[in-house]
Amino acid sequence: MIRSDERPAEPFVAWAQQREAARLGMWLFLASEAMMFGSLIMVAWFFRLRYPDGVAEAVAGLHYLLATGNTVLLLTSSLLMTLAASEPRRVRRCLLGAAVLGVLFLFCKGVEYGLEIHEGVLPGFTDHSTWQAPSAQLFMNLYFIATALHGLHVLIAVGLVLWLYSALKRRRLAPHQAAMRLEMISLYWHLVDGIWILLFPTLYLVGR
Amino acid sequence: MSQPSYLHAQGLRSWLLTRDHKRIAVLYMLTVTFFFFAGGLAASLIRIELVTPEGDLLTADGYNRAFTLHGVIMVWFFLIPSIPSVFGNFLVPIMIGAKDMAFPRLNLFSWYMLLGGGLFTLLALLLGGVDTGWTFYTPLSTMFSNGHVLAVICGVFIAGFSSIFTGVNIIATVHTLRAPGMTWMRLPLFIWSMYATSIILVLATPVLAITLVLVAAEHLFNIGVFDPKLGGDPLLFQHLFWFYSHPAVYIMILPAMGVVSELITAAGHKRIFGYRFVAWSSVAIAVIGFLVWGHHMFVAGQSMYASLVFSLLSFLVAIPSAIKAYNWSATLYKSDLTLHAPFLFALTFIGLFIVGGVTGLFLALLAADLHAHDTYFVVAHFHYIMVGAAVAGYFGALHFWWPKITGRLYSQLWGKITAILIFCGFNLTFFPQFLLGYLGMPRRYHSYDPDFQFLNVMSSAGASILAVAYVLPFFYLLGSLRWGERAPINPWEAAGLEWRVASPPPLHNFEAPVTVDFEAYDYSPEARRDPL
Amino acid sequence: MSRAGALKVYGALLLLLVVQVVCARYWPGLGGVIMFAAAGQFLLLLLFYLGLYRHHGWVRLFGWVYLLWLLVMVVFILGESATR
Repeated sequence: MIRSDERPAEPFVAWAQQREAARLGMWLFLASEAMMFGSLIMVAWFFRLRYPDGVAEAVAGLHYLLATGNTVLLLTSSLLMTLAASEPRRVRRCLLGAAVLGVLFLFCKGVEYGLEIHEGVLPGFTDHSTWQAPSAQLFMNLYFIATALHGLHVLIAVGLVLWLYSALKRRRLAPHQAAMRLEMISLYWHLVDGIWILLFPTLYLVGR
Repeated sequence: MSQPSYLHAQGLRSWLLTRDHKRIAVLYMLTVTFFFFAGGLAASLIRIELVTPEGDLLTADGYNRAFTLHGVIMVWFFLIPSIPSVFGNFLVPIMIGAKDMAFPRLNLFSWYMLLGGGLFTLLALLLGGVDTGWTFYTPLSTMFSNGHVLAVICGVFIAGFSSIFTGVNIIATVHTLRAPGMTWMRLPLFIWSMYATSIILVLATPVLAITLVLVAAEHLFNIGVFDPKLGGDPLLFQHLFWFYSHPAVYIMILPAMGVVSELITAAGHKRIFGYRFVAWSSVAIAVIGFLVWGHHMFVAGQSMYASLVFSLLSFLVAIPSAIKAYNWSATLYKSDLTLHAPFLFALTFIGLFIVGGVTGLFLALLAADLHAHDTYFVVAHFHYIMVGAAVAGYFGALHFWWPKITGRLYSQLWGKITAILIFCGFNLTFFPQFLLGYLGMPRRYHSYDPDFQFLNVMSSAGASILAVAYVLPFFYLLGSLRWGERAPINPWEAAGLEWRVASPPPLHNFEAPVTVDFEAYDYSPEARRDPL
Repeated sequence: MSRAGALKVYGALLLLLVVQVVCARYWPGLGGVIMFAAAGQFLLLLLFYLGLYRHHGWVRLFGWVYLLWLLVMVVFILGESATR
């Protein structure tokens, strides 16, 4: 029975029902995103297995320490998103913290791209003569596409978190709505982090 | 009757900003009908060209653009959305006893995405178009094509997301909004097949998305993923593309199979034979369908061992389809048959699906495929399934649920004439193509050996009959809106929740919340038929 | 998930990251170990932060089927490439 004035959206009759549907919908969307990035990671491994030497050459030039720092930023942001759900009084602070870390991630990524443009290894900015093996350039290109696509998802996640933050700040959300949105955005955030967890070693660490 | 019908509110805004799944279904119906005719025009160009052995109507390049337009429009903008987005949207909530889909606004957004993506693609295809075929094989699409590849890719990408969101909506709806008492094993089989289709929509389409992104990146930045000079592999493209596109063909056929289960039981006034088998076979088709994509690449240089595995799995995927065909036949045996128009479409489906399915097995055989690949044999095979079966399923659904959707009855005579014309025209069009393929005529060629002319002329003649048959419903179905008799609640005396609400249904589907205490396809004499 | 639990998982995630980076720096041949640690991180995230440990029955089954099928896709395509 619904005791408050807050009604679940049409066509649901109970909050639990709407929450379950939203959760299922978000998980299905996450599954589809995982398929997309999973295929990309598989493509990376496809070329790793074919051209171990060319790939090793490319990997040697990647800024793995900077990327490790980035990984720490993302892992910490995931922690903050989890804490946002478990500590109701600190929700806004945790959300802001996660968003800030996400922005820092993107900033560091930009710095990394800048370094790589300077070194002449990024697609569109390269003169093709930097590498011994052509497959090294191929791997660099793949690195660029994969990290750029991931970065786009981080940007979207940051946008979602800031949107929730501002809605909570202006007290525009009823309690059930707020809890549901927080859960859904957290799920999305954790997936973006999860993708990076697999992408990072695939691109930067193996075969250094 | 306290609620107005869903068609009551008037004005463009009430349609373009609706959240009602029934209205969204009608919007989709208009959209896919438009794209069907656009793709059909391209097909007409192809068949007219092929009447003569010389390439005289179109240049080779022009012909390439024609069959690309035909394939892209028909696959992504007609077949894939047809039954799921039109009949899925309209019927899923009603069949399970719900007031609407789980995410009504997402539903409307999905429609806008399809419309947007489709118009964009059509524009690109008309403004010069693309010559790569709907399959976008590399390196033609990435390095040598002189067409608007990027624009078409964008359009398809957007439409892909429309598919994903529709799939998410359907799965969430079926899981969470079933009325009390509507257990999984009481669901109409149409719901089972829509559910299985939605699994494929959600899990396969993202791989298409990444494939298109990679092709675009290759086209723009020459990243080299598919370029052998940089170490890339064109076969990798085919893996990624077919990993989506093979399950996509199951997206195109599973909903039609669900429709046929409904049509057969309604016409025979009898329970489906082997409900559980048919229900699980939909899921089995979805699951196994994800494992067979390599059968499109038998002659592309794929590893022999992989080909063996794919060949075996392709044989396996035929089994659940066969189970359905047997169960439908068993359902019809000793049933109380009414030979109305929807039923004729269902029969068309079964007959043509069997031919298409069996010829698929021929192609799954490695040795036979070596001979038949890239010939008209393949063209005939997939058209038997996608047009003979799937389009017949769509037309059957149209004729079955038209009274429910519009509240009008149409002429049964004209419906049956259309069904028979489709069956005859279709066979005349496509059966000769099996022979042409066997005799060695390659596909995607605008000119051919003069020895093939007779069969080609037969095929084109059949196509003109098909064209007439496809246009006929425009007259009697649209005409019914003006002059048709008002439909009763249950014109077919069928079982199912949708046949216990008004025609057309009220705004919120049911006057009061529904409780289900009956099995699916309850045609027993004590079954309740009173309006809900 | 409780605060203490979240912090414990965070600690484990960071530890596994250290393992990966150290392995990459000093034992570059051990790519398997690196990916194993990464898989461990992913599973921790999946089970605890994404909250799968709370779900039982069908959800768990579907989850395993999904992961298994992803694995099949990877094995098929990489296997095809390797056996050409």
